[in-house]
Amino acid sequence: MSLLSLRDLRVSFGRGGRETAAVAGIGFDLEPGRCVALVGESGSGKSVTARSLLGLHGPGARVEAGRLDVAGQDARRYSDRQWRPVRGTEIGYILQDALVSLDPLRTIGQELGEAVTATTGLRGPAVRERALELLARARMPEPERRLDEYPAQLSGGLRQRALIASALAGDPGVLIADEPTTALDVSVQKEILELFGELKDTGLGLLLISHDLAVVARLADEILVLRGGEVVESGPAADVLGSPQHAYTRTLLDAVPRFDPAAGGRPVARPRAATGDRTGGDTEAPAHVNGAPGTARGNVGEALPGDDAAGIDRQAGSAGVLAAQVASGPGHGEAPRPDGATERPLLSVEGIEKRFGARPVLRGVGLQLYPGRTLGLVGESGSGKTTLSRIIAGYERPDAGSIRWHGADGSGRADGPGGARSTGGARGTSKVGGSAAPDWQRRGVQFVYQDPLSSFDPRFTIGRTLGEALSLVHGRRPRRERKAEITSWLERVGLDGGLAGRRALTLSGGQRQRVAIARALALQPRLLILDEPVSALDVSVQRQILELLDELQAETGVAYLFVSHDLGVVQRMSDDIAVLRDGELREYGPAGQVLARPADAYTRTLIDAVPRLP
Amino acid sequence: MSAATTLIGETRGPARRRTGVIGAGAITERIILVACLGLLGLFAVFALWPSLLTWQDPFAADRSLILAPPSLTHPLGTDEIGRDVYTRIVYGTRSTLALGVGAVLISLTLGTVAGLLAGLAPRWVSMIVMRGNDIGAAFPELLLAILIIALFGGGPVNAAIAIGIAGIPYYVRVIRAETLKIRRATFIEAAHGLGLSRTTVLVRHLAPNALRPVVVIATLGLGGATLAGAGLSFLGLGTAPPAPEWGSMLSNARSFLGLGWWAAVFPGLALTLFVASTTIVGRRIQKSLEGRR
Repeated sequence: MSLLSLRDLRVSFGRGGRETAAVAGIGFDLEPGRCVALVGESGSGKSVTARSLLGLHGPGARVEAGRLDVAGQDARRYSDRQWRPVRGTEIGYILQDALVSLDPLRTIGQELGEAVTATTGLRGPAVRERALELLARARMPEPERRLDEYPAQLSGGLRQRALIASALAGDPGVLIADEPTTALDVSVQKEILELFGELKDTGLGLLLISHDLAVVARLADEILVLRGGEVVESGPAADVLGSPQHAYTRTLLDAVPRFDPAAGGRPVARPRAATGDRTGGDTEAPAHVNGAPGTARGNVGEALPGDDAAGIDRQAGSAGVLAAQVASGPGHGEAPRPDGATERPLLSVEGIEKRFGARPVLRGVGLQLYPGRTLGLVGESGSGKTTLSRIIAGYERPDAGSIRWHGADGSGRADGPGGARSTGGARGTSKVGGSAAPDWQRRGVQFVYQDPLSSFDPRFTIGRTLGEALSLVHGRRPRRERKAEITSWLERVGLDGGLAGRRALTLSGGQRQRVAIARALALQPRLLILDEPVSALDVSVQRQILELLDELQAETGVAYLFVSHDLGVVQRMSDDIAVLRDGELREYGPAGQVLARPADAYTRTLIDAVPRLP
Repeated sequence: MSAATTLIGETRGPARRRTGVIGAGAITERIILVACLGLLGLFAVFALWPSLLTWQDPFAADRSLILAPPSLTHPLGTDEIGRDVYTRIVYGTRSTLALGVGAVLISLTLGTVAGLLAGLAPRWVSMIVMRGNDIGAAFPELLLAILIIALFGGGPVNAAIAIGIAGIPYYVRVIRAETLKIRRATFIEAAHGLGLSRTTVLVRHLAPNALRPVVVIATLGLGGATLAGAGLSFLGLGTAPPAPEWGSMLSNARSFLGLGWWAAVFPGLALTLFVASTTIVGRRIQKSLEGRR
């Protein structure tokens, strides 16, 4: 008998003529000890399906199904009262965000105790005993101690274990996990996935929901690929992953940056022509890809009419020279040269130390950035990678160490502690009255945030946002020229010029990130710092953004510092890789060498933890 | 097992409003809002052009009609010396609202400047501003206003200044909190990162965003300030009789409540309607601003 049997589930929102279908005909059977995975991008209906299985369809929903059997009982006509015992005792549900799903004011013991009492009716000391059992089942280290701790005292992985324990409180036959590892570091993700594997082996039926095929690959017996509420492909995991029949499944699989340590660094030789393959999962406005790098540069030149400022000419020229250097220079697999023997670095960072209060965040970190090359900065949360990139951007000052800029003039100006650009300054960041950043840092280094929306003034339209950056380069200019240039920048990052009048709030995540990239590059920086630029995006959009970054780098010769926790993406983008852990540089070298022959044990752990497609 | 599907559940709820079908609650809400806007418009006409809506003289006393009940010639009755209550309410609107509007403008200007200062200046400046603010906030508004009048004398101008000053602490708190929030926002850091000067970031990005709640608190504050102004006039510290003003009309009429309730009730009603309307409209603006982001 199936634990769960679902046929032709349909969920729609709204009524009358405005009805939109969120789920259109999903069905599967879940047997004990098996795992079914629902995979899809945002808006595919995967979470709505999960909630419908618990009778938790939200307000305004219309739910229909050909069959919905829970533990052999037809649940289609259940009232809310009848659903209640199903939740927790038949089906355990693990919510999407482990980091915020626990009440911060209650201990783990209280949280679990509530779940135990609600599902089993136990009271008194028996509750605590049961809670301990559950924590042990969720493989929580030191369960006794955790019972009296608050969520804030636990790491993300431990909080996820606590949530899993509470979902197991009523001893359900089915566990639904909605994006259970999305917010977690890779090494923690691996542990949680292993825990799910163990639970599955004890006979639990697992319904796993994820946007990431690689995460699902380890556990799933059956995979349903969803798009727009419909099943585009389903079947045994090995078939779906091994020989996908549907184009969309292939797009999803291709879009996942294949992490393969043996393959070495950045797979594509540059400068390279833009790929024409933009069909399939392109959920955004069609991207106009500039042609070969040379023509693209020509376009930009035309788009900058009043471009007579000597500095810009010089910069554009030197960028060209540098790009040529990179192209004809040493191969990409070669070691970065701290002494700058063959290629002079753009910027070198030496011995950076930083502490927040008593806690050291960075301990003597040093690395180099080269024009036209990408340095991937990898680390888990708390490793100091964001702090380091903020120091390089001038948002924060190091306590010790230096950042040396070898600009186009090659003067090698040094900046020790103290050269932070003044931000409005929250606690711990640079001082309000701090001295202005040196010119190279102010213009030469730009920053792209993980959440582009928060980096735009909410009152501004896209056009005004870009126009502000452009006016810094060109000063005040006639309206028409400015408008033309805004349009040309939007088109350059693959957006329609008509978006200029819109606010960022109305754009998709991928479009917002394109605007952020356009704004940063409009200032013609020599170094672009990308802080998790694609972490919040769907895989197919992620891929488009990465391609765009490739193209723009080939055109402009800008250096990237690519900060990410995702080794697959880092491998896709990086010439060199630096691995940070607890503020220490554990490994630093050419991407190929770091990934294929890691010298440090921690790097190996990281590489092993990456979920991989078979 | 048949292939036919069964409707499992259908929930009706807040989602309906989002999809454009307006529920009964929303309709009532809309009617009330329109009524409030209409009332505020009417008061504005009263204040700007009183003779448009009444043909009588607010000072003309008809000794033969002392405390006459509402009638066709005197729709809201007459007061204790035979003046038309409706006409005096209409003519009193300007002086009553002027007190409120003047007071709000004073608190708004000074409160905004102090709030921005407290949110942006070095810690010690912020400390001084906020501790001073705490002292101000510790006194009930009206009491503080009376204290200021006791020191500097009464009259409508002094009353507006007194209420305006007494209202400052609230504005300072709101603007400071907003400023602190905005200055830590990523887009402010990003603006610095572009290479904009500190002044540009302050003027172009920080201040306009921090001042967004000003419209709401000013509208909400208008009712309270007007009420406080009428209160001072009631006590004889604001607009002095015989000039028409709602507070002083109330004050005069309260001795004759048993003989002619209308002389006190209608000015009071006008005040109540005005305060309620500003509050409802203010809340509405607040909601729509919050909805935007």
